[in-house]
Order: sequence, then C-alpha cells, then structure tokens
Amino acid sequence: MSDAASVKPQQPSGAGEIHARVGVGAVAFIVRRSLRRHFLSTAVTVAATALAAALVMSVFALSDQTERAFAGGTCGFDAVLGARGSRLQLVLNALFHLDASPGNISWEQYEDMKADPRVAVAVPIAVGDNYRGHRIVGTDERLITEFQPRRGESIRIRPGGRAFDVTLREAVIGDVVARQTGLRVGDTFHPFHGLNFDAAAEHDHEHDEFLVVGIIEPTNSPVDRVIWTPIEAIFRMSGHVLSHDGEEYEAIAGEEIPDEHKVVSAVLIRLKSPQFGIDMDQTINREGTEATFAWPVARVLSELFDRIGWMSDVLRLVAMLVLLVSAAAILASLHNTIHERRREFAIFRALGARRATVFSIILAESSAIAAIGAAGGLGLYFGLMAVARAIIQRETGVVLDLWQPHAALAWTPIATILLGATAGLIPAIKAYRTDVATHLAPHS
Amino acid sequence: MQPLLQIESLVRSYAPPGGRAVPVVKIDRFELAPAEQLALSGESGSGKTTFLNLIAGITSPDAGRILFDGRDVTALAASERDKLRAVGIGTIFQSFNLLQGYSSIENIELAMMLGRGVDRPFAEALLQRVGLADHRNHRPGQLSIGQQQRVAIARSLANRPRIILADEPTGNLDRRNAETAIELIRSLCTEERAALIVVSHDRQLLSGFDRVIDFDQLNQARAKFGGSAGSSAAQTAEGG
Repeated sequence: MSDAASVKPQQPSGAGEIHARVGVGAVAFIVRRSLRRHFLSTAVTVAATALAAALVMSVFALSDQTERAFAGGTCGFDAVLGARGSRLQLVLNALFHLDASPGNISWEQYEDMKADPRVAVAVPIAVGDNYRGHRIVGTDERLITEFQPRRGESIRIRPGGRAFDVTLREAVIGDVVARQTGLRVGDTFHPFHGLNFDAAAEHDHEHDEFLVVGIIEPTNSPVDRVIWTPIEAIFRMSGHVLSHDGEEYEAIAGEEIPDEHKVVSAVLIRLKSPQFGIDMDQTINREGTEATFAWPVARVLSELFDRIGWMSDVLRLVAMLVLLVSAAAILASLHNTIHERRREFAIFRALGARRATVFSIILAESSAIAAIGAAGGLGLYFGLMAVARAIIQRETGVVLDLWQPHAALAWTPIATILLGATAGLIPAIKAYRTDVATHLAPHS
Repeated sequence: MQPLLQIESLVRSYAPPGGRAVPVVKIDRFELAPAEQLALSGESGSGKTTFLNLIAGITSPDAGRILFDGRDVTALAASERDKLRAVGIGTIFQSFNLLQGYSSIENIELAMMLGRGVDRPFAEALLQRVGLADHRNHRPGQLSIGQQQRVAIARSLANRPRIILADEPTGNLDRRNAETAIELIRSLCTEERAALIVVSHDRQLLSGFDRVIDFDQLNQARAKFGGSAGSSAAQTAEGG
C-alpha cells in the first residue's frame, strides 16, 4: 500500500451547497448504469415502446395524410359527370382510376356540358381497357393541358415526347407505366380488354397497335399509372361495341362515327364559378334521372373518409391501447427488478441519498426507457410511413409526403414519456419505502 | 474541547411480532472526541449495529439525544440527517455493501456524487492508499474478499467525513486480512483526522485500541437478540 501523501488536504464545504449538486448528475449516472446492467429487459421494453409509439404516430398521421391527399386530389376539376349511380364511385373511377365505371353517358350529354355557359372546361374520358394492368383512358388533347396533378401544376411531357394526335392510335403514358412496362417513346403495344389484366383478352393484334409518343414526367398522382390515348381510338378499337339506350354500334374503318353512338365513361368539368355547381347539382341530380353530377369533388372524396371513419377510430383506439400496454411493460420490467435492487437502494441511502433521490432514480429510469422508445418510435414511424407510402402509391397512385409534419409526431413522444413516468410510479414508491437497516444487514 | 459525538439518555426499543416493545439500546451517556478512535466490543445481537444506525441517522431513537458536533441529530428533518450522513459520516459494513454493477473507482465516486461532489484525484488517491490502484476498473465480483473490504474502506472516506462507523468490518475476513484491515482503517482515519468507532465481537482484534468499551456494559438494555438474524430483527425497528 502506498503512502498517504497523495491524499489531498480536506476541502471545506457547506452541506447545503453540496446537496444542491447531488441531484441530476448522480441520478443520471445511476440510471445510465442501471439501464446498461439490465440490458436485455431494457432493450425489450424500449423496443415495445418504440413499436407502440410508431404505431400511434403512423395511424394518426397516415389516416390524416391519406384523407388530405385524396380530398386535395381534385386534379383541377370541380365536378365529374357520369352515369346515374354513386358519386363516390364516379369520382374514384374518373380521377383516381380506381373502382369500376358506374356506366356510360351519351356523347350528347358531353356536348351539352361542353356548351353550357357555366362550364369552363369539359373533358371526356372513356375507360374499359388496359395494358398489363395499367388502365387505358381515352380522352382528348385538353386533358394534357387542363389536368392538374396538384393545384396550379400541369402535366409535363418528358423531352423527346409529345402529346398524342387525336386522329391516330397514339398514346402518352404515365411515369409508373413506363417504369413497370419498359415502354419507351417509339414503342408500340397492344391493349387488353377489361380493366384487369388477362393475357387471353388481347385486342386484335394486327389492328389495335398503339404507338407511344410521350411519357409524362412523374407527378406523384394517379396520372402516373395511366395510359392516355385519343378517345376516338378507344371507340374504334376492335371488339368495342358502343352501346347506349339499348342500341349497339361497332365503328367501321374509314367511316365517321355518328355522335348518337358515341358514349363516354365520364366528363371532367371545371366550372367558371363554384356557385354554378349548386344549380347544376339541382338540375342534374334532383330533377334529372339520367346522370350523376358529382360536385364538389373534394366533398365527395371526403365522404369516403366519413364512411370509413369508424375504422380509423378503431385503429386509433387500438394504437392507444398498445401504447398503454407498452407502459405496463415498463412497469412490469422495473417492478421485477425492484426486489433485487432493494439492497442497492439501501446502500444509496446509507451513503446519504435522500428518499426522494431513490424515488427519482426509478422515475428517471422509466422516463428514460420511454424517451428512448419514443425516439426509436420516431425512426420506426418514418420506416412504416415509407412502406405505407409505397403501398398506397402502388395501389392508388396517390403519394404521401413522408416529411409532412403532423401533431402526432409531437404529442406522441410527450405522451409516451409521461406514460412511462407514470408507469414508474409504483416501483418508485416501493424503492422510496426501502428500509435501509433491514437491507443493509449481512446476508446469512 | 467539545466532543464530536455526545449521546444522552438514548433509547431504542423493538417490538417483536405480536409482542411488547422492549429496549434494544439504552445508553445514559456516551462521548467521543474529534479524531478519537474507539473500539466497541460485544456479543452478536447485543444491539451494536442498532447503536451505529442510530448515530448514522439510519434508525431514529424513541428517546434521548445524539449531538453531532453540537447539533442534535434526532431533531433534524430526515433530509437533514441524510445530508449529514452523506458528508459527515462514513460507514464500513461487515458485508462491505459495495454496489455490484460499479467498478472500484465508481463505488467511491458515487459516494462522492451523493456527498461533496466528485473529486477524481482524491478518489484515485484513496484507491492507491488502500493498494488497489491497479484494480480501479474491477467490479466487486472480480475482487477478493479482502480487496472488496479495502474498496469499502476507501469509499467510507470519499467525502472526508468527521467520523467513520465500522460495523464488524473484519467479520468476513481471515485473521491476517482482518488485522491488515483494522490497521488500514485506523491509519487512514488518523491521516484524515476522522474519529472512528469500530464494533467487533473479536476482542483480540481490538486490543490495539487505546479505548475499548464493552458494549454490554455501555448498553443498559436487557433485551438481547441471538445471532445475526436477531441482529437484523433489531435493525428493522425503523429505517432512516
């Protein structure tokens, strides 16, 4: 043993000043060490908390973002005119290219709408075919100029391409179509009957060949998943029987198709003033019997979320319950270690730790577990959202903004930490009550 | 010179389950001068541990006064007693009571954190003084029994206390290590000018002390507890 000379002289110090310094540093040191010592249970509890926090954030943010993405995705149109039936189905079919078309309306109805002085733009669309699962939508040249993937934005065609010629079998394809099918400008393709891909349902191989003349720049909207062709080319596709009011007609090469035989799936409408929608709604929906005027598009889309709102509520409730369960896991994990740690607490107390210090150690520990879990949850949230974003984009073409802030990203971590701290209360009280003399006694 | 420790009419009773409270410690008068070294001998279960716990403020008395440096410890609030224990009193236990998840240096520094604040050079110096400079990062489980006791001795001095209370500090050591430990405790207390109360049932080990008191004579309580289990029972009378 070495000489005492290295032991420094006594430092004067007041007790009051000393105890002010005791708090945070010692507690942080002890908590850090304890979490490391109980690594496995800490890791499991942190993982459970992170999953729970991520679930809560994802459920809340995803449902709100999806609703906003759909409700905001009016594509620059105020209304959709289509066959009598569900307004929601009409909008989903015409703008989001989901669901089946509710039926057709006559060319005359389209012409009437186009000529209506209250209407600024009317664009017809005709659906019913696909190329390897991607819908082929017949329309006219105004779709390229009037469609707005997002407010104020127009469709842009990649350099080297152009819009289709309405008199030819040409096509402009979305970015996703180009990536998934490998089609490039100059390539040709043969459509398939129906909205779902069936290899046996190919149109006339000789007759119905379409030339790709343009690829649309990515819009992160349903446009990316669609093949746009002239509506006339759809009418003239082999095997297409134009049918309206029970009368059937098949286009003959070289002959003009009489207007009375033409039919469209829907008409996308932009009004000169939103208030005209009220009149048209009255005339077409309440007084008429032939068509459906889905207006305003945003409100129609929000109906979708009203219908499935209960499901969203259930998911939110489940997510909150999972968060509660994770808090219970923190409680159980700490509670199980309290017995073995009583001697440790007694030693802290014998060394001068106050009861409140021992109490705060456990509370800080449970809060730290929750805080680390919440931080991990934030990371997981972005992972979950990235997966959800990819799925929603693949299925609907709607793209969610991963980085869009949501209130749940703020309150979930705070709630998680508060729940964690609450979960630590019972173990902390047990630690607080530790009897020093009993637990310092020698083990027999 | 004013005594460092004065005890007057101190009584601590314990009620066994279903029984009537009986005194475990009953001491009329006791004094200890600053830097004085005192040995208390006595049989197991005679209330020695309870006596030390009363001085340390871990256990509260039923009656009487304990004056530490002129301040009545029994009149202090619990948090004040904790403060006093943190900076004024160092304790060495029979079973060392080192914190298992912490290294030798951390055991000392943690005591400092709870007391006067971390003084790394002093902590290193203490470890060197007890001959464990090379074992600063060893945890208790990686040390021999004798080495663990030396870490406990170093820790007891971490906050430069006015008094060291050593409760059967050699109880788990063999004769040679026990004598070394007692010698170390005494010399460190001398260097640090800390008073010392060593409690032991081994009278031979205490023979080197100038002042040795037979606790059975100091303590007028008639209740005795047999063995360490009885000792523990007495200790449960009340925590700090």
